[in-house]
Amino acid sequence: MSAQEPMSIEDRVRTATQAAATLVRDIGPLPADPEQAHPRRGRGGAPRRWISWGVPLAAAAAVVLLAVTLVAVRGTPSATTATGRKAAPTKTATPAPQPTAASVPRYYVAVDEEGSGRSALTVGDDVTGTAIATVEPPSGTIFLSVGGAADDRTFVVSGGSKPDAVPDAWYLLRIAPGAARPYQLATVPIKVAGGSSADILAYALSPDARELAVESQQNLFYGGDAVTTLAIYSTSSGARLRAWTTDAYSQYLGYPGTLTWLAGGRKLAFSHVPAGPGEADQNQVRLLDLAGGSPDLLAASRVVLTMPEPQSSPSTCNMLNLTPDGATVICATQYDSTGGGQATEKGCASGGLAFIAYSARTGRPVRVLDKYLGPCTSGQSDVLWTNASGSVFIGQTEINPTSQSGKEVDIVGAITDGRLRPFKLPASVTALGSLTFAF
Amino acid sequence: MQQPTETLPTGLEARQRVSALYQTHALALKKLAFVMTGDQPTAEDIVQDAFLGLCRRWPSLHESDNALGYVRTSVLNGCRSVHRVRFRRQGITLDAPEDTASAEDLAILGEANREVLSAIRRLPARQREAVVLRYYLDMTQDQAARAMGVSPGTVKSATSRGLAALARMLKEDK
Repeated sequence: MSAQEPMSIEDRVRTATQAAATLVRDIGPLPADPEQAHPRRGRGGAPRRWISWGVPLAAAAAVVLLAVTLVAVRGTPSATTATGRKAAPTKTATPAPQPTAASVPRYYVAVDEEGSGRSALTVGDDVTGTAIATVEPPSGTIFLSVGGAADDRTFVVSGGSKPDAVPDAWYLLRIAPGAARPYQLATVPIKVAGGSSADILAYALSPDARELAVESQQNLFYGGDAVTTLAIYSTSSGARLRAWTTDAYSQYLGYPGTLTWLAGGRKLAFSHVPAGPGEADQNQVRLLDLAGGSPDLLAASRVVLTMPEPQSSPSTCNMLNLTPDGATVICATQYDSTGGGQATEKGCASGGLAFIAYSARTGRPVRVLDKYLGPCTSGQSDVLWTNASGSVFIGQTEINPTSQSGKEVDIVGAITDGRLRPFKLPASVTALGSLTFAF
Repeated sequence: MQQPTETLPTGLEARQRVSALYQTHALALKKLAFVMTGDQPTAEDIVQDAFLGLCRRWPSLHESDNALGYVRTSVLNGCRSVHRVRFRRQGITLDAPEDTASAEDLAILGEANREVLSAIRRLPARQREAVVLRYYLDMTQDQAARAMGVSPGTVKSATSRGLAALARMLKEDK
């Protein structure tokens, strides 16, 4: 190479990284006590054993252009809520109805994730904004996550010995608002396939709360194939009732929030990311008919929708939820630079955070259900609950602020036709997300 | 190098094997984590967390030969987590190495290298990992795919996009 010839980008990377490596000259001894080496570091710590949960997914769908080109069915023109959502002009002559309190679950359970190694549950009422009860974890256990059943009274809670543990304890929480004893917590003796060497990818309580579907994967690091198991357990006996397996998963495991019961408990939707030789991952929403005979998870299920990996968009699907009627997939987006493309304040404030409906029949986007139009630099959205058709759902959006707007904001509420009814939440409920906040 | 003490609850074999692995590979992994994150204390935390995770998992490891792969992947996950958290909590892209490097380190690195490292740390996670594994560790596509848990095709596309993004960023930074 002559002195005038510029270095290739590959050589510049080699040179720079090798130079950086020379700055690291030593490393301290390995701390003696694994349990006390690095106390819980909150969100900045090592990743939880829940692979991909709450993690921006590298493989997702580009949605920015979609968000600005699709018709957004919204409410009153120019209306602005206290949460900063600005409504776009409506395309309908009749104002869309507000989601009523009766049309969405009233009670929720939230895991206090911000505590110092001791996580209680808050049982709350989203109409009154009050906390009904606080549920302390059993001795030696930390509550890790929560999911809800369809009756607005029953929840499943996972627990473990420490915040980054694989859940090894399961509980059914039944609430009784207004009663002298407002809740009952019962142990469910479930032993998930793979034990401590498996990661739990997702779980979902059946509509009648009698069964728990758990998706787990043998950890890649223990050798062999990363066998994924989707199993159904009895919540009364803990017995494994049925299981399907596949070894076709990659480390990027898709969307845990997709695991949902459909058709009155006869089918399960789940997410799958094929690890094929293609240039881009394809994120699938699949539907498993529980009456099928094959024990192979992929053979027994069919693809409902495939989302391509974005090429350059900062707005990607953070969650994919198949509605209980099986007709619609709701993509709740995240907006940041982690999936491809550079996030900007303008892009974030122009619909980068949105809920977008896809037709399960055609696989095509059909409508922007709602989008955030306030100031932001980045953020992510979750669907926490949806009715059968997706016409009413509970959404949560975490908004990272601009330099002018100040602190991080969470918006939680019921959404119908682009109109948001924000929930009142007690100050103690801070950990809002699909794992730690359930209806 | 100080050995793990007798308080490790994972048995003699685990202590000896993990200690040997730590002595052999920890520094190199810290370098990898530093290239990814630009912060030495964070890099050390990530590596130690990875080895402590190995200690805890040792009894259920099916193939001890897989231990290094486990630790390397844990380090990648830890770096990814740090980047993600920084981005989300601060609402900005990523810390440049200038934030934590000493004047001596800055001089060693040189401006051109600092620009490249800053650009690498602004890449999306998968592209950053693919570029660093391929051009810092000189892994093949298959080796990088194994470390990242993706297909070789994904490594190929992520590397290609990452290099293109780097070229663009470095041109824009001029």
